[in-house]
Amino acid sequence: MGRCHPARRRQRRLAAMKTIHRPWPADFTGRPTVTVCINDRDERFAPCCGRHGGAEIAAALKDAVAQRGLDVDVQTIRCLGLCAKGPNARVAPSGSLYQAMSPADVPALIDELISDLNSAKV
Amino acid sequence: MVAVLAKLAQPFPRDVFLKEMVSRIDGRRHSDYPMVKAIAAGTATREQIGYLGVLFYHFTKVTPQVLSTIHSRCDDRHVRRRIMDTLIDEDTELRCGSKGHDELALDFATRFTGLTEDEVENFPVPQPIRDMVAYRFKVAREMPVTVALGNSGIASESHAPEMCRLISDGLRQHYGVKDEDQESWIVHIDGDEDHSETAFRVVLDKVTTPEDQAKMLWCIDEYLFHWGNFWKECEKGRIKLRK
Repeated sequence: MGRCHPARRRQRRLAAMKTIHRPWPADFTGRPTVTVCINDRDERFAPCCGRHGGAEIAAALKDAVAQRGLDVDVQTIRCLGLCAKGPNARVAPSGSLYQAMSPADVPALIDELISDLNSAKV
Repeated sequence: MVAVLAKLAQPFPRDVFLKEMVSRIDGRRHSDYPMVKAIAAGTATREQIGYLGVLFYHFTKVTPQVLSTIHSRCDDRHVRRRIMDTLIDEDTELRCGSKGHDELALDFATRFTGLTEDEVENFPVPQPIRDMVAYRFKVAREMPVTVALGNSGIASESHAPEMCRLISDGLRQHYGVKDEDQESWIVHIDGDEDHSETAFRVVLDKVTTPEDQAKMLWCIDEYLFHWGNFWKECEKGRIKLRK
């Protein structure tokens, strides 16, 4: 683990998880995907999600999905293009974003996803 | 070359210039093309997508050189710094993406087609894409710096996130492509969302003479013409996949 990037330190002081919620497409019938960034790189130029819990968030999400019996695919990626705002997760196909996440935020993400799926079925 | 470089007697007022630019883009956004819609709907063939992957790599790999050409001609320290930030994003893993964007495009091309890196690199590039690359270098070398920046920022990047979203969702839903194998598209969906606003603001602030405005409008028409050729070429699917 490297030293925490200044942008990340600033963000930690400021905020809990930030959500950019986007509507669920009404015609979608497939399997939702949650993609978590786990990129781990030198943080001299920009922060990265991997050094701030990305892998732990992905693991917590997989556990939560299994425990609640959800048909949701949890994937990892090495950049969502939002490095200064991470750790980031993205839900597809809605495109909802979860930023400045920690493993403790996983239940909230799952609750919102279930709510979206239920409202799409109505 | 299809567009004729018109001469303007007077500069357009800011709002009229904005409308002129937007009216040229309307109906010619990346997401308007059948190729992008077909991937989103799952009706594109794997050959068409593989061909897109290879051609997109050959488009992407020259971006750092195009940017550094513009950077070398720029007298304004603040604008130069912005170009440098973009260049770092495009050519390295230091600020955005896990690799340079050309490498991400190469990853997608090789993983989707099963071709080796050498095969993708040495793939015979069709004339429309060679013309497009030549056009990008011509603009970078010959146009005023702000017009050259607006060329990619407005005519292409301002509507790229929606295209990347449609392609990415289609690849995941219909073709079983994992997100880690298509970072090349995903990294631009949300990461580039504010590029459109920035590009328009910079052009509206800096491109204010009749001559430069005429050049900007010419560039938008011309680049969109090349992009149209790009998407039509992809539809041909002229590639033999290995997987």
